[in-house]
Amino acid sequence: MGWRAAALAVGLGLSTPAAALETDRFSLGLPAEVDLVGLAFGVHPELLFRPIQPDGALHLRFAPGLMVGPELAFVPIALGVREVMFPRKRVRPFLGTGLQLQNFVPYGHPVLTRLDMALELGVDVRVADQWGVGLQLSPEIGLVGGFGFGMAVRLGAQLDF
Amino acid sequence: MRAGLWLLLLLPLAEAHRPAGDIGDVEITDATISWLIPGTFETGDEVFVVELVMPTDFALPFEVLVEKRPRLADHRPMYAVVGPGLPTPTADELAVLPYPLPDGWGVYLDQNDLPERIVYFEQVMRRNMWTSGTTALPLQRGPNEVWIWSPDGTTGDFQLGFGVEEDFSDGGFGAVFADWGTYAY
Repeated sequence: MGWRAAALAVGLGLSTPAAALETDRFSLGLPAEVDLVGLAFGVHPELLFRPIQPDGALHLRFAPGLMVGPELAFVPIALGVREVMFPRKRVRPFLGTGLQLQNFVPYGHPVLTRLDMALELGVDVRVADQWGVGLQLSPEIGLVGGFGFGMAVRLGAQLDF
Repeated sequence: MRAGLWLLLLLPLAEAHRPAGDIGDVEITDATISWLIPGTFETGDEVFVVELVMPTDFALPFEVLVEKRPRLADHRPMYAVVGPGLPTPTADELAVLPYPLPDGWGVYLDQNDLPERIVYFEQVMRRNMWTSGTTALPLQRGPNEVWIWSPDGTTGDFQLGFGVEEDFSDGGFGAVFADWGTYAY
């Protein structure tokens, strides 16, 4: 095999998995969120990545959001892992955990930042090949920068790509 | 109208704002923890009275908090700490007090009248509050009282904060979960 053929083979070898990675391993969630501790409403989009298998159970999650309430606004930025049970079934319960940077903007007060541990309990129901709808409950507890609680409820759609 | 009566027994001093529960006798086991007592002015003419029985001399910080909402922008409850060893009141202060001072007692009066109110963000329940500001007062062993009233007759909720440091290291959430509507938005 000449070097051109070898290069072509390597190129093909790389291009096929790369295409699978791009098309199968990511999901984008667009949930609306209600925060029950320090009442606030907003959106908390999440990008999910399946690092082991495209249809695997393990997900890495990155989720920045924006919440607005009567006493404060805040910008949570979450990084975590999610384990989806039955990832090939139509109904997919999941559990997750991670860290959430809370940027609180109480009205009339300087911004306060706190690092929370966030848990997730939810379910995703597939409604089409690439689409699902989901409900999540996420308790939070302040770890660094102050103690405190949080409880978020999210409802939204998810697109796999 | 004398609206509330709480008896607080401060035991040998041991730990921001831990709910102390509603009206009734409450034993505060540790005054170095800060505590909250909630109340509501329903008519605006109530006077809430907190009786403090101190087991020893102790400098105890106080403040009055109100939720930061437009509806409560003019709600500025006033409080007075009265007890032996506190400053002798001026004639103007005496005129403001809702009750006559017991013989031999002095008073610290906080009229909660700062032109620009201090905003305090309570992280535990993510509440945004106006505070009168914190003042530590040297209380003597024995009985002392805190009187809280609404000088302009405004109605609405308030919280009396007292004690030194926020500390939930050994729990203390019971009153929050038992009375969620009072402490959460």
